[in-house]
Amino acid sequence: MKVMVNSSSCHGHQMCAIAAPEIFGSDEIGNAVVLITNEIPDHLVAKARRAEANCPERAIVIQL
Amino acid sequence: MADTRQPVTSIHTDYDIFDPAYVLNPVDSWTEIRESKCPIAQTDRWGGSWLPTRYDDVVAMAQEHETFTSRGIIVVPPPPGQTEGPYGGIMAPPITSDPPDHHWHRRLILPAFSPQSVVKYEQSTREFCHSLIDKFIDEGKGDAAGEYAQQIPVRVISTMLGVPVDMADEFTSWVRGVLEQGLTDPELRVASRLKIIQFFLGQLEDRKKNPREHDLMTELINSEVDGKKVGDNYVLGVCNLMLVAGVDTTWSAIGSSLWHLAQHPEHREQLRANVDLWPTAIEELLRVYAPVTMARIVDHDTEFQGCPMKTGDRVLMAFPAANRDPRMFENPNEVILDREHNRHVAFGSGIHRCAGSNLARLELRVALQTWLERIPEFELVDTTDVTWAGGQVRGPRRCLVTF
Repeated sequence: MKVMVNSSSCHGHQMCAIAAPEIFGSDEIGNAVVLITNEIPDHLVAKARRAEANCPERAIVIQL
Repeated sequence: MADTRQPVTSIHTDYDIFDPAYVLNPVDSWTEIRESKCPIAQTDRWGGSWLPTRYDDVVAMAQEHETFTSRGIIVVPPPPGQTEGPYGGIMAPPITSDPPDHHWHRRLILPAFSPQSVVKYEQSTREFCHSLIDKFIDEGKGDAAGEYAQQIPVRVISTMLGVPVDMADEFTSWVRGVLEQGLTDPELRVASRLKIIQFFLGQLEDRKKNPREHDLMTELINSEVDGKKVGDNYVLGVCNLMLVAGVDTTWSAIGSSLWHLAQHPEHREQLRANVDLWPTAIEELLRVYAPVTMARIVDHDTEFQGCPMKTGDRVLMAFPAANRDPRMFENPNEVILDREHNRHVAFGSGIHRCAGSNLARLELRVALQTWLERIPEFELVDTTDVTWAGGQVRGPRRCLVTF
């Protein structure tokens, strides 16, 4: 699994960083930055799914 | 305009957001509207408005900014003789802005509110929360709203704006004048607005003569867009917005959360037992006790979910109602502190997502953590000793507890 953020949809809600701080950080205006650009480790997969489910803009894309 | 004196004939066609029964318990009204044939209620009161209650409808309005514009964002029309927008001649960018200007109006203030930026307020906020509790802890009782929640956000935003923290009580009265009591008292609303503008005019002039280092207002004054300075009206407007938005909203979230925790020892215990629960718990409290409803003005005649909306109509994006929609949230009226799926819209949705959300979260978390650390067991004196304010922002104004 890999994750991406659709930056034109991201409005900086921070739900992803709250659900999965290991995977999502923020840039200088508070929008999402993907910290793990390679395969998401097994122990973080559940958090990645939760981040995707909690984004109010549906800006997180999960690639299997 | 004093419509509240007439009893509401039907929540579907004649709701009154200032009806004390609605302020005290809006949830039952939202449920009734949401599950009816038309989940968007309508009223002629207070200038007339529409009230969507479903998550999808509220979010759609927030997203479709070309139809639902931000030229008016307050839940009632402006006072007689004033133009639309919270501050008459001075707008409140970016909240009153539409694209394309909205983009730079907002872009210039976002860095101050990023998670990395707001972290600098954690320690001083915690110290201040302790000092508030020091004042009443020996009494064995206190007003969680007036003596605690209300005192915190105004001082944090004053620090951020670089204005005198010791003017906190005055700032609070001006803010309540424009956003709370002023909504039903046009004279108070105009007078309070003028005080805010005059105050910031003085602050601006001072900084032009004596620029300050590491000062948000000075930075804004010196900012340029397309090679031109942004201008005084923009800076004044931003200061207005930050003061008003930074005070009433967060205070309400803190007060509501303490009101809840006073009645739920099991949730206090959950938080005490698991410090890692806090981020998720804060989001759940924000979902259930979301304080803010924002309005929009319809740009052109349109049919929205079967409702015939006209140019100039006011719609109330009831984010708190959206957060209770069972289509989006399982057991929506239950506070589940470790709720996994919580796509709440307490901070709105789309391009106007609350710019202050990271600061609000920090204040809410620190205020609750500090309270629970010092006062782990507490309860409401009596549910009748709680008074609620409503309209644009809903939250307790008095919440007496014993411990």
